Amino acid sequence: MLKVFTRVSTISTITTLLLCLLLAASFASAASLAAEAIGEVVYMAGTVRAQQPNSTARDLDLESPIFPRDTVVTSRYSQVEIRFKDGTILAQGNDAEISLDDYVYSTDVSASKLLFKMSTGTFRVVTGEIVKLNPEAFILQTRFTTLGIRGTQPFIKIEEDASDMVGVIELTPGYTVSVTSARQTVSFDRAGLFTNINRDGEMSDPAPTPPAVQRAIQRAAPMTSLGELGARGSKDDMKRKVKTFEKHVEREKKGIGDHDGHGDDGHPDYGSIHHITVQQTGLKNAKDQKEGKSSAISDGSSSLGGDHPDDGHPDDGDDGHGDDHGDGGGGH
Amino acid sequence: MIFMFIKRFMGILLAMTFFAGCMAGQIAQRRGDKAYRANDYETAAQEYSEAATSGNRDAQYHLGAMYIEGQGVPKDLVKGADLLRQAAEQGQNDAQLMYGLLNIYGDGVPVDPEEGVRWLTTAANGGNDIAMYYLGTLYAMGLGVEKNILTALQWMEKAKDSGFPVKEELLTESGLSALYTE
Repeated sequence: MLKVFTRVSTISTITTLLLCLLLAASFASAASLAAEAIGEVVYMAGTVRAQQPNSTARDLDLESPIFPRDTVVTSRYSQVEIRFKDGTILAQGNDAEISLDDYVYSTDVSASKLLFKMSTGTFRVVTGEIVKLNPEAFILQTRFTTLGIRGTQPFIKIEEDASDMVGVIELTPGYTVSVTSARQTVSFDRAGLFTNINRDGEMSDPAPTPPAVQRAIQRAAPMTSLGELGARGSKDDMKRKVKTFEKHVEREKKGIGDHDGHGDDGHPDYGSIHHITVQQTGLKNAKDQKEGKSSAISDGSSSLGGDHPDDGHPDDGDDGHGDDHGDGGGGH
Repeated sequence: MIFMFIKRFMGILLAMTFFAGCMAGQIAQRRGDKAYRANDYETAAQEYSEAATSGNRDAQYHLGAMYIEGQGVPKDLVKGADLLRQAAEQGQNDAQLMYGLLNIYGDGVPVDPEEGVRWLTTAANGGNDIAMYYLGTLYAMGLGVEKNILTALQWMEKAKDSGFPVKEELLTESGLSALYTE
């Protein structure tokens, strides 16, 4: 009897120990993941998931951390905006997928790097500190191209059975963006240009992005960080949007306080002060939108659902792909 | 009698012209807002310029800030400061803050910390938490005003209560004194 009791006791002790070890391991894993977070979700609507290479997946929400090697996937009627530690901002439209293969932001200039691979969907990027520290190591890849970026705001649109579309919404004066395929390189030296790249690596000559295309891209992947309101969404999405703008205002003000009210030149950061006004207007509009007031300005779109007809893509009629722009070998 | 009628008619006509001007300014300002949010800063500057000319204070503020930043227009601190002054004089709260700071640091206008503090106080009294924070730092430094840590503390507390994330060390007399020693 005593022997049986001792054996049960031993098994129980081992089980407890194993459980403790498992718990410790999971805490350690969570802690290490938290320490490794490279960014966070600053805005989202609909359903957005992040998946690690080992197939563990998690649903994202506002302020969810983003980890290296996450693949971020948006579903239909969904959008997400991620702010990375160096200030790089990524906006992603519906039915889109991006793999955050490599991201290091370090005081060691040569160690800082970023490699994101986009496989499908619409994306916009505002570059942050990494581009300034180590421009050669800031790389965005699509199926058919690699983008070299030097301080700018590019957009990328990738559709199945179509050419990749790459353009620039804003470009720091004196800088260029190079788009390189397997066959050629095209450079942009000013904002407002785009090129189409087909699967053979042929690229169209840079041409002005039609305003309707740019508007469609901005609606598909809104940058709330820049004060864009984006489309209306579900009740939960509207609540998230109000919170998004509250956080943007808070973040900007914190930035002013952290630097004792001064920019790099010892003078006030007038740009940040102006940006707070823009974000406060965004907050007011988001609140109006949530309450269904007609004064809300929705940047030309009525709703997430309304923006996305049957194929889930906004304004496909004038999106720069296909017959409307048969320019320069960007064949499908 | 006819004279009275003409006088009234002219008055109504003037009021209507003024109202139409305001409406046109507001419409141009809204177009400017939309273009600004779409990152189309050149169009935004054109729209704001049209609205600012008709006296729209929000457009004057945005266009002034864009000149200060060189956003969509060539950087021009003097032009920016002039537009911000116009907006501030019309009671635009954010413009009062920014015009006050321009005076303190001599950006686009001659350095005049006292004038700067006057505008910041107007903005702060209008509820601007950023202006409250800057006033706190100015009283702690003794810039544009006589140094007064207690008043500095009061402005910091007001800024915090109004939503500005004031650092903890700036919410005590000793913290403020230590940070802003001569």
